[in-house]
Amino acid sequence: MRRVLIATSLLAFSLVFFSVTQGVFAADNVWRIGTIYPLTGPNAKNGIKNFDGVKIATEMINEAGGVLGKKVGLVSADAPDPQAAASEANRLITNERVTAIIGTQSSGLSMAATVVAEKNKVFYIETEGVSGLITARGFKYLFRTTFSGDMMATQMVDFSAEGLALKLGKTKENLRLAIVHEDGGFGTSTGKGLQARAKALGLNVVSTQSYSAKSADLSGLILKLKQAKPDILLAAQYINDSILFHRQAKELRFKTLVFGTTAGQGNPDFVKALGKDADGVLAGGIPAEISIKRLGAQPNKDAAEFVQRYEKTHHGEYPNPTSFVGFAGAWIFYKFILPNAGTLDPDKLRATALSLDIKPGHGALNWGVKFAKPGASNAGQNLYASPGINQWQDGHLKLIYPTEIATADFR
Amino acid sequence: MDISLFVQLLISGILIGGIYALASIGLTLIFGVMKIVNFAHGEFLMVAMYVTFWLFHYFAFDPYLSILVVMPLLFIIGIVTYQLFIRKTIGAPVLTQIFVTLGLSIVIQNLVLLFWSADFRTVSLSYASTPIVFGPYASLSIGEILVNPPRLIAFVLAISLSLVFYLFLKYSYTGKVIRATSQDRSAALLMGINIEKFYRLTFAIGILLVGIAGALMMPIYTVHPFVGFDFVLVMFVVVVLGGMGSIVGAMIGGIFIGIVEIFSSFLIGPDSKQAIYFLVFIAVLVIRPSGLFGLKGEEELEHIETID
Amino acid sequence: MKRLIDTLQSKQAIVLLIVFLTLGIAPLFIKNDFYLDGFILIFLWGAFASAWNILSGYAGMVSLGHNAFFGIGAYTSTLLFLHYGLTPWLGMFVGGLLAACVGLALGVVCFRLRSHYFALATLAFGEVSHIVAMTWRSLTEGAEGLALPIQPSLYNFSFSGKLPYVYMGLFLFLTLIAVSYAIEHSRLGYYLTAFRENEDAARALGVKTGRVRLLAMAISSFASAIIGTFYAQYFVYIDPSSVIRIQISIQVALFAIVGGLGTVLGPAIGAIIFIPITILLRAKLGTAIPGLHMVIYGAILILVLLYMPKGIYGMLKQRGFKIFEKPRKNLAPLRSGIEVNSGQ
Repeated sequence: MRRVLIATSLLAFSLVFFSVTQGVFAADNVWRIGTIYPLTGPNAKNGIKNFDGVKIATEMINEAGGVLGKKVGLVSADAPDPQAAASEANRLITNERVTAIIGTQSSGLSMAATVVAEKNKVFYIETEGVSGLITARGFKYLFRTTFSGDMMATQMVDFSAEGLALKLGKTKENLRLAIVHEDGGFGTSTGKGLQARAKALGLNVVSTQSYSAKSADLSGLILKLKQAKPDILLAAQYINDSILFHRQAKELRFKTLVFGTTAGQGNPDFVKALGKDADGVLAGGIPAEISIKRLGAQPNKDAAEFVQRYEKTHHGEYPNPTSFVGFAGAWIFYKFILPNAGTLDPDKLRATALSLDIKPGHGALNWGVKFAKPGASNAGQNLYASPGINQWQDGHLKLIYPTEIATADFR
Repeated sequence: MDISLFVQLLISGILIGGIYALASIGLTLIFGVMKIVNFAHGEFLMVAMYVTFWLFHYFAFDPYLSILVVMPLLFIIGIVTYQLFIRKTIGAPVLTQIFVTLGLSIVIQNLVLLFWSADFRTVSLSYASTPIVFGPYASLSIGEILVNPPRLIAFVLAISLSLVFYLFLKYSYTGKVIRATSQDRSAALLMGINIEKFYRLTFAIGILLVGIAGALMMPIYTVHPFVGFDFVLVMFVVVVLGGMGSIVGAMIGGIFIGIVEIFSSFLIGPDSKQAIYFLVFIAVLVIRPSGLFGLKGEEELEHIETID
Repeated sequence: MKRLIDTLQSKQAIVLLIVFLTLGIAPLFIKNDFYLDGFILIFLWGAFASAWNILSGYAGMVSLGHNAFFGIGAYTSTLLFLHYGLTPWLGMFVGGLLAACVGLALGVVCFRLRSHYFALATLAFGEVSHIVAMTWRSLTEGAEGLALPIQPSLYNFSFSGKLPYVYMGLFLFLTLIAVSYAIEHSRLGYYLTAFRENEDAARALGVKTGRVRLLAMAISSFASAIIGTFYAQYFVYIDPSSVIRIQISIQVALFAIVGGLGTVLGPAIGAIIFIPITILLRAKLGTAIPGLHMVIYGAILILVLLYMPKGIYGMLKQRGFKIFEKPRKNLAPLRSGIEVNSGQ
């Protein structure tokens, strides 16, 4: 009897397993698009926010009638680690039969999932992973809508060497730069980019430090930086450690101009935690205050609507930078790639993507859309995804560069 | 390195060490008395931090007052956890203990993620953001020494509570019973002590202590569902260094680790400081596994039988 | 040998043979890449769990640092390939030898510690290796990771379809099971069991417990590294969070324990059960309610440990499924350090 019971439960289990993983074969009148984001695990916080951006973009497009009259249906997957990312990519492609995927927030996860997509010739939009490695592999079906870590690093260093140096009363020659970064994928690749650009410009980098984003205490690091007396500190940090850093820097009376990124210093939580101490801090990356009149009219409207919807579902919170890029990536796909291709066939999507040439300010946010061609060292990179430089002023994050669309000047 | 910098580093190290010490005392107590490796210890710390945060967020409770709420709450949580899970692991192989508590930590982390989201939470105290300045002491050629108020308060409270607890263990009846149980279980049984009741009490006290540490830490750190794992590793290093079951050991071990961490972070680089204290950990385990204050040979753990 | 033949002729052996044959032939008929991927994961983790079991189950030295060996394997073969063009087939063995050396060093230093302390030492060791992988950026590129080029060829240990990987995985899986069987039924196995059950008595009888455990450690770490290389070749991208973080050790231990620690088939059973469950839970619940599938995972772990401590294989054994067991003749059952009174 017992054996029968065991056998039956095993059978039931396998039946459930196979049926559940077969995937829902939705009706033909929906565009089925897969998504892979870390919704659990160490990257969950950012992953969820990135995915929120994609979800809102999807709602917006569906309420406006969908793409070419057909609504978009997301088939979502959770990828807490690279192995899961690869597995879920396999599942989406073979069981759920998707031919286009939007993902992945973290560079490490992206590296793993995109391999599977490329092998299966599935179209892939990377909305946030910034590592240069992602586009360095010459993949044909991979397109990164956001700027790369190198683009952001280059802009930051250039701005420090020219604009900032002047304002501080220094020249390129006697400017003292320091670099600090967390040792994860984001920090490491951005840090490398910062160092490379600084070296290329012949700037004086007095100290370069890295640390684990999980550190409970950064005093030793701060004291070391304090000793080096930098004029500008370029920082690639996440929000948690940037808050800790600034607090401890204040305690240890380490004063310098901090130039961080939107992943850390540019996050809305930053000003919530630091209050007045946030003023003056710079953050490169996603341009803040997107609804600026100098943008093309349509992107302005889109961004404003995005902000409104986000605030409604997030207790009045202003969108996180990572949600903005999630939104922008999905929006580019829904507005420019999919409707022009008219199909989810990866080759057609790819051809359409490569043919796009939309000037900056007319795409999503203040970006344009133009992907690097195959053969380029960063094939698939959106060359018109320009980062911007922001500064906290009176508790608000203002865009100070590029000057054409800036809302304030550097203080 | 000039003396000013040395003193500043030393002070920073001691302050953070005091916090590590308090958090580890609960762990070493549980270890010493019940020989249980509680991998979920960091999660209780995290839960206490969240409780403190919510009290601050909704009722504007000062975190230091929250301790009065956190203490009984975590004590009860400790009792419940013991009854449901830990009780059955006494006498089970090491493997079971490790993985039951690991399983618990996974469950707690993800329940918190489910209910309270992955967002990082912080508490900022208006009265606590400006550093207290000591010095300069020109005669000793020491410049300004800067001290952060919440860390100082946490340190003072942590050390005081640790001392109170130490005295409790040494002089109170309950304390003596706990110590007897940890030294010789069979003898304690023969003396008519209800072992199970005291194991339960010990576990709950251990959780209560780490709960207080959590409340003290909230003004200093940020909390998110996965913050426990990072702390639990440090706590294990402290406990092994100090000697399992030794309160004094945990206190001294905590401070020592805090100092080692700050100095190596400055001298070698913040990236490698974790490696340093793990190397210290392995060194201790190899040279003197019983730790600084543990009983020599204590690492030869006898196999404890089940309670019945 | 005679015993082997006897074993093979028993009814249970036939069942087992059928299971293995199915595992071996089924992939040829399955066109669905997702299921093939599942097979590969089961074989990979099953082999790894068996390798872990050799040290932690048979030798009784619970290790939480096996992620280090896995990572050493993955990084060694990958780096040798990227920098020197050495075929991963050879790089695999280099990695294995390196891991074995590191493992031996760890053993020499730490084997005198018992139970909790040894586990903690290996945990620290595992953490240190993770930190090294993250910070020695000139060697490992840190968190950015290493990407292998996708150029299918036998020399590159890279294939365009999944089937070659499935069979490579199956090969590793069966090899590790065979090794476990060989150990259990050899003199080494007897020595290890003697050490596990009563160290002092074993020493008194002349068993060289140190050497014997070091041998188990060498085999275990060597095998783990080989499997690490296989992972790198299949996933084509490695970074510290995929091949050397601490969760890997925990996962592998979980499979072996739930399946049945210290047995030939236990770890394999653990992998066969858990991999599909993980995929299932993540697929169904992962996005709907983030975190819920992990809660269930943790709950399963706790429940199995509290109520079925001998693992699934232990439970099967109680019901008479005694294949691969050593015959116990007239000896009174020894009190094993692994077995437990599942009291309350």
